[in-house]
Amino acid sequence: MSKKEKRKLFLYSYLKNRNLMLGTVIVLAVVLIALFSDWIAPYNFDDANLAPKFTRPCAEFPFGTDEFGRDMFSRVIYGSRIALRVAVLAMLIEIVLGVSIGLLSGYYGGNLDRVLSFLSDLTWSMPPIIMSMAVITVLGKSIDNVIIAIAVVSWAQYARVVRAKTQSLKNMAFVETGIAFNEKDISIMSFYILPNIIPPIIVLASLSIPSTIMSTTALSFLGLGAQPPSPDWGLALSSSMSHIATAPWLAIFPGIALVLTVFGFNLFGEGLRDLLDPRLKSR
Amino acid sequence: MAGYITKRLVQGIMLVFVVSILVFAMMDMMPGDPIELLTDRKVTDEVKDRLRAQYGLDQPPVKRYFNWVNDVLHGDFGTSIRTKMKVNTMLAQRLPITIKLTGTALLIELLIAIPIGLLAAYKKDGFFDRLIMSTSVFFAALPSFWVAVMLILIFGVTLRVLPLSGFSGVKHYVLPITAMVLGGIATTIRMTKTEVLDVLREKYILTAYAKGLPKRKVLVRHVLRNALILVTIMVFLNIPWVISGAVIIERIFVIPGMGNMLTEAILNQDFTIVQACVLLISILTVVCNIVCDVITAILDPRIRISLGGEGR
Amino acid sequence: METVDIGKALLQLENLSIDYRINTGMLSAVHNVNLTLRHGEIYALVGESGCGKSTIAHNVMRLSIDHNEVINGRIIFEGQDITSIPEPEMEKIRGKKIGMIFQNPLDSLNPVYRSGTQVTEALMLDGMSKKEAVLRTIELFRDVQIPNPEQRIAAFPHELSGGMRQRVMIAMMLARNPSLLIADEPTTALDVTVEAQILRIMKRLQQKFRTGILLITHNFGIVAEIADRIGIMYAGEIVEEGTVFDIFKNPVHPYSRALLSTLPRYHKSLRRIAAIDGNVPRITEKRAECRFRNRCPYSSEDERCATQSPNAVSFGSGHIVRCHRAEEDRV
Repeated sequence: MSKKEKRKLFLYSYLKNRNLMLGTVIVLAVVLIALFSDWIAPYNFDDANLAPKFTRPCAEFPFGTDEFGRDMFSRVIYGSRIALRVAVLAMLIEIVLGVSIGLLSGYYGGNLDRVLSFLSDLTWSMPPIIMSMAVITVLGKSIDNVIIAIAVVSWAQYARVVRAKTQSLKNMAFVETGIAFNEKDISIMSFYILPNIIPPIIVLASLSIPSTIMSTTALSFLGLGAQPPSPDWGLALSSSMSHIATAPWLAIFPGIALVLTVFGFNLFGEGLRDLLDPRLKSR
Repeated sequence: MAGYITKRLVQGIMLVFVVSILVFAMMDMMPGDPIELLTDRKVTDEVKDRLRAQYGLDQPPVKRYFNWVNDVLHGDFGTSIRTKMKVNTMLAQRLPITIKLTGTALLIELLIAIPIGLLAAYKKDGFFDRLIMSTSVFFAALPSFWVAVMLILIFGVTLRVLPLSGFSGVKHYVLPITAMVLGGIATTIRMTKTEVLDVLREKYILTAYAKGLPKRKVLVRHVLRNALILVTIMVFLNIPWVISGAVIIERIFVIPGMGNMLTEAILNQDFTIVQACVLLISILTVVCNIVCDVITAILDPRIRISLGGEGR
Repeated sequence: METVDIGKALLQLENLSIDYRINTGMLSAVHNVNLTLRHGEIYALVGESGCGKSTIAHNVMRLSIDHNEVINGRIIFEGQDITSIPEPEMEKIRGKKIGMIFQNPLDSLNPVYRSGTQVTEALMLDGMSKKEAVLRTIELFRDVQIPNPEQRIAAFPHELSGGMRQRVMIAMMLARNPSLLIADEPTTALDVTVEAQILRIMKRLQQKFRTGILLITHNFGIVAEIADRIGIMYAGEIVEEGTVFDIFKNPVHPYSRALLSTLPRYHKSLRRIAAIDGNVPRITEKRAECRFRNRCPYSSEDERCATQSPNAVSFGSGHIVRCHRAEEDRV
């Protein structure tokens, strides 16, 4: 099949997959909301006393107001920005770390591999939330530190995949020709190996965004991440708990936003995986 | 076989060792002198030095590390900086609660998820299967803390059926455990289904039928027995995750367990407790991994033999 | 074992058609197959991969993984129509009356049970006690020439060599004395010397117990070794059928001739039928035509090849050919 036909087939399968389409729609919606929060949100997330505190949802304030009289609708919208920013940044760090370590590990093998694999097994087997809590203890409570913490405990998932792929690619003929021509290791890695590991990385990345979002919001929920007055959804949920009886909307809307976002990314990631690598499909 | 266990144990110990160093080093790197934090300006330097000596904070880091390890090996996890109680005492109070919570949750989750996964796999593409699959995608997106909050909203506030906090009676168990179970059940169902499907596709299942074995016997003796292997992995590898989940749930429902203690300690910068908890959880994770590998080796003769043990 | 009337029909397939439900419609895997296998006869069903022979093999006993076949026509075993009998009755036939051995013995044996256990499991279905079953298993292992049977019954499948595993399979499937054995490419995964031994075991079965064997293969070498009759399949249909002697001496159908011409002179087993241009088609639409015409060198000369399904033409003594042009070539 020619490249053009392949692309057409890809597009066709993409559009035909209902789950994937639904996921894409949600993801796009969230991304747009995050990017254009300033335009979409009627108020700033920390504008206080716009209305009496604990106003029920109404026409002017669709999601009600919180204990400081802030508009929940705006807060939820700005919250998307935080959620995405954190997840994407964490993912990028993880990819950079994971891919480089995986490449080095798989390419050079030997003792370097043993050490790096030990390191990645270490971070991979420990429950990420606990470990990120430990990192936060050291770095301090802030949303940026959450990004670092999550990245540090989760890079290993990329390293493993990249390492395995690198090892198998390294033995293939076309890489051997590069070695025979005495090309520098770095160029071999960049030009031969890297392009071939991109598809599984993409799949892994899209699958890991939902869990990253969940972990980071969980940490904020515990008070270890975003700090007030941040409109982070996790933080909003935890502060809603003290007023749950009188103002349930404070918990409902951020929660729904979170669930929808995670759900959308889940559909997107799984749909993409099924499309790009059907062998991984869980039947 | 014995060689394999030894090898894994050694690996595990190395892992825990490295983690302990990291944990200790991280806490040690903390800017700020804990003694300064505890005492106010009026306290003289002499008193502060005495306190430092008391806590062993005046010694070089490596020595302090070994002191700490020594203490831990003797079962002493140090003293909480904030509450001045022995960490051991606190652990003794809190650990059983967390174990009760997570143990029950895990058990219930498995009891529900495994049969459902089995059924979904066996009646693949049927109504039941498709129903389960679509709802599980949805359920997998529900963060456990949101589920908890919603449960509180529905059952605690609106319906006033169940208590919202504390942990002294059966009623107190219901909501937290429900939240924990709902959080993990979707994944477990899907994993079970995938594994059972894999086994069902194996050729030896056809052979079993070809021999004349009735369906029921094939299912139990061949399908189940082989799927059991991955199920075991699932159980043991799930344990560290369930503990993580417990941290959040304990916070929400104000349950005096180890998870809550850890969170409080981080918020209060009570490093001794953080060190102890993280170390304990790492040890637990390593143990779970090892146990899982060993049990798998026992259950699957192929692995057993490749390890060089006798297959008999 | 009851005395059997050699030459009486053991298995009859009447106008058997099997279609698979696939994503884009229906796949015709087997089409209007008529086949008779007699007691004590070894019938080889031959053809390239994808021609439907395996499908027939699995569906005689209704063994299928995905259960999306639609079966038309009749399967008659020992005079009884078993095409749509209820499952509990089929269970009684499986293993007891009909046995089946598969291609890859490593995949086909459960890795977590010892080889002896897998055989005793079958024996105990007939009410034997565990003790009796174990003794009988040792005997069976001896019958299939597994050395040191008393020790071998404790071996796990992956501790045995390929040839041993296949013998365990045979022992397992013969344990209950079935009158028909279906062998789906039994030696494809084995090397040549082992293959010879397995074939010898099967031949002995035929001679000693008058077991009928439906042998599925793409290897003419083993056909020549032990088969009595051959059916050559293409795209779900039997295009030629006859005794081994007739077919080897005088193949009529263009496909048969092409297949047999690819055999080298020396008596060496082939793993693959070599070089006939093209592939076996997957038929998703049933039309009145000869399914071989795209690869047949003669089809362009005769318009019937594209518009009518060929009928069976008899060449005497059970030699049947399905080809429009065969009528003219008939002696």
